[in-house]
Amino acid sequence: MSGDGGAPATAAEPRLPEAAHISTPEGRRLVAQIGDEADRHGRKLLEVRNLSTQFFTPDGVVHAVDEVDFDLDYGETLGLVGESGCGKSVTALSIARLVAEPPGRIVGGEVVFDGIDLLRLSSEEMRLLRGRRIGFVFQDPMSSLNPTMTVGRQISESAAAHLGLSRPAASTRAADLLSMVGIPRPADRLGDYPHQFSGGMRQRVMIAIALACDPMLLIADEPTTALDVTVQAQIMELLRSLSERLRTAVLLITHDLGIAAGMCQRVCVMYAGRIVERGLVDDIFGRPRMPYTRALLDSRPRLDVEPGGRLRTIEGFPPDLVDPRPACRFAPRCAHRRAVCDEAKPDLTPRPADGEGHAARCWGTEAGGWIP
Amino acid sequence: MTTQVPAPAVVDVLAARPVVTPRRDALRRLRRNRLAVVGAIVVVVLLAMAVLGPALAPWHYRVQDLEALRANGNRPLPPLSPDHLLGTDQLGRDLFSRLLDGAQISVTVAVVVQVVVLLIGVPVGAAAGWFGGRTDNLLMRFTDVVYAFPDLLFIILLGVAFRETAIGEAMNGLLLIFLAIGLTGWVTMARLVRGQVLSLKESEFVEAARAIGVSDFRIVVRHILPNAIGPVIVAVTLGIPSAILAEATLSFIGIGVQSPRASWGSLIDDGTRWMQSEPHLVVFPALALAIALMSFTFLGDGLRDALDPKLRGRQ
Amino acid sequence: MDPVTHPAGAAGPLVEADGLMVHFPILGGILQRRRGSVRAVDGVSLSIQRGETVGLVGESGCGKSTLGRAMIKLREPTGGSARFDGRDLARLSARELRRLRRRMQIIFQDPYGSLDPRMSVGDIVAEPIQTHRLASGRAKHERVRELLRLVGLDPVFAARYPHEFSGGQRQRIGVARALAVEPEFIVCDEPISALDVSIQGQVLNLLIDLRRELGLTYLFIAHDLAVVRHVSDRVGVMYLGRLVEIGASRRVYALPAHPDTRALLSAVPVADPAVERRRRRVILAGDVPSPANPPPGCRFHTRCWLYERLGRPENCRTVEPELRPVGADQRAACHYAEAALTSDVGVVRPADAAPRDAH
Repeated sequence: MSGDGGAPATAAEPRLPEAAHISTPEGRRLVAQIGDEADRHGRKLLEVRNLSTQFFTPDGVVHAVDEVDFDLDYGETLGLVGESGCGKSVTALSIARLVAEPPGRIVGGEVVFDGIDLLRLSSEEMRLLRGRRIGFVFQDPMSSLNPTMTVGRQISESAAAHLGLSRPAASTRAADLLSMVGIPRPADRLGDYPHQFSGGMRQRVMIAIALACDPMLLIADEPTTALDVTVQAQIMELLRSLSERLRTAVLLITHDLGIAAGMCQRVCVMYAGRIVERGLVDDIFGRPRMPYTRALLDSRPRLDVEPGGRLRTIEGFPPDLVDPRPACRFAPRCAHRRAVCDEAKPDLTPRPADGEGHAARCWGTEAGGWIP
Repeated sequence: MTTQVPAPAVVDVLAARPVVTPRRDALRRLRRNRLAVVGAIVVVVLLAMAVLGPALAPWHYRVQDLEALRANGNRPLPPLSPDHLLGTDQLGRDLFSRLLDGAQISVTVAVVVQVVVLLIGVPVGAAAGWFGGRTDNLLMRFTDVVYAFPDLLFIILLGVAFRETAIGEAMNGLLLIFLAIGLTGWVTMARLVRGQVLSLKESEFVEAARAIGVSDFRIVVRHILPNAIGPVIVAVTLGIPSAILAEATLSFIGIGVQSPRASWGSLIDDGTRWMQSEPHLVVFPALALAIALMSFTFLGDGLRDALDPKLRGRQ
Repeated sequence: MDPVTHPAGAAGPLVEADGLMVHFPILGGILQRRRGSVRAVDGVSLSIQRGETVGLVGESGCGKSTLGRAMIKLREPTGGSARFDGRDLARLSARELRRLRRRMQIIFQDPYGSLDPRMSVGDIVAEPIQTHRLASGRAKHERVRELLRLVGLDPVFAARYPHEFSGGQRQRIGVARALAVEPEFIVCDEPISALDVSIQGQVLNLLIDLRRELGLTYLFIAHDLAVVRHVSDRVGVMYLGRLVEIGASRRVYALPAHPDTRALLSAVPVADPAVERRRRRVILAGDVPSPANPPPGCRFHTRCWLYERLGRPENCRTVEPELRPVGADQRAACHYAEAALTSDVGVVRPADAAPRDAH
């Protein structure tokens, strides 16, 4: 058993050892290229350019992600917000090239991660990068963990594979990671199986696995949706403090505007496969320039607003993404719709008056538009 | 430049689409599965052969063409002989006609065995699942006992024990086979139905029916059974090849169909004696058996995918 | 007049639970012997007046759904009693109970699992009408159309099957089915939590409109505290099978008297970055303990922030607190409710309101 490597149970802030070894020449080249702080030249950690992913089904081509475009800076937390089916999860899977192929395919765009276009890497190179430089946390920790392996093995497996740690060293590191994610008596729990952990604890284990190789980017896809509200608060607090401490950038995918408000520096709002608005979190929540964002904020009761009267709802439901309309996809549900909305596709254009980097995809709030 | 249009009108895509009943939806998905369609066609051909067999057969299965046999030096006729498309066996009986008779036997076995399986398995499983508790415990322990009993041994014992009786001789030994296979085969069906009923009993739509005040009887008839039927259809379809195979195995080892009737299993058994010189006597019945087994399996797999409620409305 | 199906017209509460318990046996071993029990609902008293909406919140496993079902006898209580319009549900015959179901209904969380996939929408909505012989033939079809219109669906969809609808539309079908018997009381069990954000508001508005138009009484179960506040006159908070706080919504949300209520409120994310930055959260340690083996004394003490803050007083570990009045129309089950009341943990104020320190 690797479970009792004599790891110090009380490592308050374990140092994360840097990559020491990697098994293939490509891997060595990659790791050498990525993560060199001197070589950044003001570029962003992640630059997603016109990313499009489609699914080829018997019913037609589903335009799940349609020319999605955003940046994520080193150490930043960016929220990707939207309802189910808006393409936020597929965007994340596309970035990590985890889209099931077939039926899915990334049909265009670039995903530049620390200067390298991930879409041009071989699948072997991509595999080395995933886990090493990009960590994942999914919604359902139970189905993401292997029920027949101890959590110690699952954590140290990743560390051993990518960092080339010896077994005792990997085991020590696993205990350090468990302690870092707030699991009590970590050394004792390395030999436990996933079912011996509660839902919240399992999600902590997932975070430990994702952080095992000290990645530069953590993609968290609805990490707390399956959890109770008090446990959700714990996990969010953990993610926030870890990303600050380890300077890990986080791409947080959520349908909950409240979570995005509390966690993110910047937010992208997605609707029907497209980004419809993006900007600093205060601008998105304080001065939304896309009627969908506004309507989403208004459609839910809030604890900080006295209740009373009817909720302002968005009528109808999101469109089918098989052959979606080229024009504004929100227009059929929009209270501000005019003829142009059904005729031409609005671009994601800057709204400099409403905050730095603020951009929205709406004819009505363009300069000279009719929405105040 | 821009003109005002009235308040958002949600175009209802649903209104334009034709009504899709669950059955039509399943059929649509079945049709998209090429293997299943091929399987279904072969199954239909097989059924037709079984029903029309005697009418299609150029010879009666027991008639010996002694003249041709003698002309061939008392050796089985090879395939493509005049009057005998697939040749004859060592007694001069037309192989094609005997294969058709075999098809009739196989299909009869398949149908009758599945009826026995349904008649025992469904009520036992449904009762265990619906009543639960002690009834469930009792019925399931009983099925465990049956399950633990070696099938083949049981069938052989039954065959040997009843061979000389009226049951054993009825329908050239066929009835006994049906009973034997059915009596061992219902256990899986009972378990399947029990599982279905158990999970459906806990489903929210059954709870909703209860909340409405629907009586237990109507809940079973209107909600539980119609929803349990899909997996049962699949199990029956997939059970057919194993029943056919079991019959073939029994006939091959000599406790099944008695001469002069021919089942695919007994044909293979007969043929093995001449395998070196006359391979067609083994090859054709084996081919018929293999095609039948594969067709039912393809169809069953296709039905399983088509009837899976999780996939409903998709693809 | 039929005493079962017609209101007694008494002034008492419409629905009443008195020390209600639902324990599920834990079976084990080859003989399926009872090894213990999950105390899903463990002695809850709650009454709901006619026309009132009572909200019920709590974390998963707190027993709120089981309580809702036990109150309309969809779960068999193992102790205590549930009354509807003054009649003890346990004393009714199976037949009488089935007839009483005309007056109490339930709307489920899962819009996919709660509709029979093999029945058309028309048949689903017609089933209660048939069961209680409320109408037949053409009148029945007309009633189905009327119900579909009432919940905002086009009556032409009656011939269609559930799988053709989106989650929000299915939920409307479930509402139409519940309304078909013209009930007085509806248990809404997480009716919007499985729906998308933009659809939740639609269904919530529908439920509120129907309550006004039809004079309905709701037990509204949800884990979303903001949603519950929006619909409820009174709100109850459950923890591990017990009601730990209950009172007028306005009061409970402004001045929560139980540490669990405050912890829940403080954990809810608010869609305003300014509020989020300024908020003080109490992060509860660990997860909810198992309802098969609840902690002794106050069940909440193993996760309670107030218990820690007060220096772990002994009676929290040894004496189970009773639900007691702590203010006008507010009761809480906490030995130190007064201390909880004066804390500022968990109370969310709008961003523009000046932060207040209440210590």
